[in-house]
Amino acid sequence: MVMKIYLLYLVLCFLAPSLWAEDPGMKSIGAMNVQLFFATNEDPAAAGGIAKRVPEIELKKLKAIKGLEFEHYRLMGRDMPEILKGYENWATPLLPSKEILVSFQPIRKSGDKKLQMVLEYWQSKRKVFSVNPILTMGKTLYLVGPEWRKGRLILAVKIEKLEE
Amino acid sequence: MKKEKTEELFVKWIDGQLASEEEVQVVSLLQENENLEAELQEMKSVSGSLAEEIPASVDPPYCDFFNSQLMRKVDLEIHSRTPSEMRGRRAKSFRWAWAPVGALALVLSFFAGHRISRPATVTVAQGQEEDRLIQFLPTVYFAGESLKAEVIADSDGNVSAIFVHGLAAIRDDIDFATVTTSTELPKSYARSEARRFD
Amino acid sequence: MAPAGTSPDAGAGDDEISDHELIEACQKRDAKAFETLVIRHRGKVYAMVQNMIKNEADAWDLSQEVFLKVWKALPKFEARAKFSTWLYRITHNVVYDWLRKRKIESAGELDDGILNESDIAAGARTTPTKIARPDDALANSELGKRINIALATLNTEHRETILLREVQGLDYKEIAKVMGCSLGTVMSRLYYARKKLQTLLCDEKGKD
Repeated sequence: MVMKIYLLYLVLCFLAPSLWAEDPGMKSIGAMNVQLFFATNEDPAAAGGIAKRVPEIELKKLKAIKGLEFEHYRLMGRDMPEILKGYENWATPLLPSKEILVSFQPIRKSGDKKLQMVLEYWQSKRKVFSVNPILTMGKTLYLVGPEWRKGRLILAVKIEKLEE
Repeated sequence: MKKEKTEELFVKWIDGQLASEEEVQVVSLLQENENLEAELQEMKSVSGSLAEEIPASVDPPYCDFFNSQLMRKVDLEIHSRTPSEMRGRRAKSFRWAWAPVGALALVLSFFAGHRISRPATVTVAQGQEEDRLIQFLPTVYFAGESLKAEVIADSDGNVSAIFVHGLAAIRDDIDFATVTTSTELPKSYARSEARRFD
Repeated sequence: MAPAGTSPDAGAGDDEISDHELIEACQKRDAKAFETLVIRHRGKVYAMVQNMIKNEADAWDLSQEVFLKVWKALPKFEARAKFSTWLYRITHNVVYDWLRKRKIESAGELDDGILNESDIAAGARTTPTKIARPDDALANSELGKRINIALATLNTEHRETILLREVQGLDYKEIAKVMGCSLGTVMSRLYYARKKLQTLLCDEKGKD
């Protein structure tokens, strides 16, 4: 009898964390994919050593956007943070540099695989603009940003994963 | 008469709120200074203009968005308070007795077939205007008057790109391989990083 | 339903639920009731904040902060007090906290962070109508423009006092409660603010 109570006690210790309430805002509902590209008609080497070649499939998507017909593209960085339901989330695509940041917070689901969010673009530690698009999972939204080294920096924001 | 007292009388005179004995005092003051009444009349006229020209109530721009954002924060606040209250209560009441009580609950639940876990309480509201999704245009808010946005939509009507004109260029000498400090960034950035990398 | 006008916070209209009833519901954590309260009072709060700090982006954020504080503090709100005074008091605290953080000079220098709507280009399928911003509407009136310029020369306390009195229509005691000062201080500030505005605006008129 004593042994049984002791075993129950041990099992209870194991289950104890589930007795405590979870913060529903901390629930992850998906993941974002935030990439930063450097686009230029001049020498792409200006992007520096951290820049990488852009995969063909991504190049095609970039060049298909009206107004984004640059000759050369380089990938400067990527970040794939989780989307937490109730908190402002941040992406640092240029880590370790925090020159360009994106914050995002989900507002509401808008149908199947769509999520409306508030996106904020930060540059040099200042909020520059915010936008409230409805993003479709897998579809990229390009935010064409500032000039740098005779080229342009372009943020590509996409919902990589979205829970049902 | 003290300066503060006369100021009070003049304010009340402009607002038509003098008591009868105060009116007598003001009349006396007006008689001592022939320009005073004209001056007070002008002050009264300015007060009237303020009331006419400055609206007492102005809805914030995109007030539906204002409300939905605010109610989201309220929603979070409701749900963030409840767990900590529960924790507080439980910490107190179960401090000495939680093990056997919990064990009893486990036994009962085993026989009842229920799990011991709190059900999820937050549901994200479904979009109400799904028919109009294709035509939804995002709103862009800027922190500088010189900025403009151009929104490009694809053939399905989904926004595919936003061009921002007028953004300050990033200096060419800035090297993105260098570490930048997190100071001066909002606390939510620090918390977000802490969650991810600690 | 209690008839409108029987309490300080009767709310607008005979058919509508009174502020008092909404507050009671909010105190029971009814978020829907709170939303109605927000819709009813957000215009006043936003106008007050915007007139104090002249920055649309921050006015938006601060107005939200005001209502969030209201939501959190509603359980402690005493029904016999006037809701609008209490609301202005919270607005006052939020604005002053913000000003302290931003260290804005009392001469009324504007901060560099005014939000604008975007100009949506023809690349989009539909173009939303541009909604006139409140200070656009004001700018349409020459006098309004001059009044705003003159108001900006007042320090924060004087500006707030005169806005609460002339624009929001509070009485002296209410202003004292909102600003956490004595009645005498309210009178003195009102006098000074009116005098200064009169000097600025009437001098300009003389020049025209």
